[in-house]
Amino acid sequence: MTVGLLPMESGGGYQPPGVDDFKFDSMFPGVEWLGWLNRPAAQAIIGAAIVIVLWLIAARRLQIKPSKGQFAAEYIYEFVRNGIARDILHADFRKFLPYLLGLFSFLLVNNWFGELFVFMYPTFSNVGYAYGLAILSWLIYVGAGFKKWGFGGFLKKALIPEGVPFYLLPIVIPLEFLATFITRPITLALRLFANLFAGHLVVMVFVVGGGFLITYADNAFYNVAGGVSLAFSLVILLLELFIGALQAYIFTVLTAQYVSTSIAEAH
Amino acid sequence: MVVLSYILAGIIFYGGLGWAGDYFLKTSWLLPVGLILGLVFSLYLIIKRYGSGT
Repeated sequence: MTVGLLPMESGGGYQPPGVDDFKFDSMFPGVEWLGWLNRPAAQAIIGAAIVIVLWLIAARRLQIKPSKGQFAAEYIYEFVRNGIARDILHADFRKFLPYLLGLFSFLLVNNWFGELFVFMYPTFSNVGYAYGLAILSWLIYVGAGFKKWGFGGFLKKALIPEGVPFYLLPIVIPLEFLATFITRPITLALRLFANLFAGHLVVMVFVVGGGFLITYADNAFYNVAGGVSLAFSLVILLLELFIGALQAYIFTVLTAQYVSTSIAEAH
Repeated sequence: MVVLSYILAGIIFYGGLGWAGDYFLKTSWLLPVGLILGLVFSLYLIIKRYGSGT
């Protein structure tokens, strides 16, 4: 048996957390028609239900003198409406406000699932869900551009930048095409996915490693280190709360920004 | 945040062209040239799109 400097180096039954912890089987194995329903899918459905129910409750019985709940709901609503939609989209913000508000609250709820004790897993650390939302945003900003400028008009506006001499156009048009239609949704999705994936992995490293060390036999130093690691995982969880909210905000702002670049008047 | 997609597009497109050139012409210097040219063109495009115009 080899003895490493660190307890985890020599193995000793320690299984470091990794990518496999992000793979889930069906929640009801054996039930044929529910085979698709694994944990992230269930969380996404529950998240959507929570968003719908919360906004339905928030929209009922509005009073001039708001209750605490109404105040909170109005705070989020105004944050998205004034802070994101109106700031970026100016006069056209009303058409896109429902999507932006739904997007922001859905992302916020799903990201905070990573810190809530029943779930303990952020839905968007599964890259497919991030791709799904990015494709939806892509459809919205490309669709808005086509609707406003027509097919050729939007392509001309998106692909031909102003102030570029004609002999450089063949060089930059492919870049504009790639940037607008390909890399934008990919970066949108990967930014969200990677932040949540890495955050969840860090939390798991601290919790799993701390749990292993704190139960390590006959070594008080390892036990203390494990306790410190477990305590520090709580700090990381608080950081994850912040990052979850930040990523929801960034995704919404960038979607609004893309819509704005496809419908803005030429100047 | 928005300009990141331009930089990626430039590097992917011209780096990809350079890689394809290397692959078919059996050379080995087109890929780095393509990567750098792609970065240059995307920076030029970003300045044109988002620069102040002065």
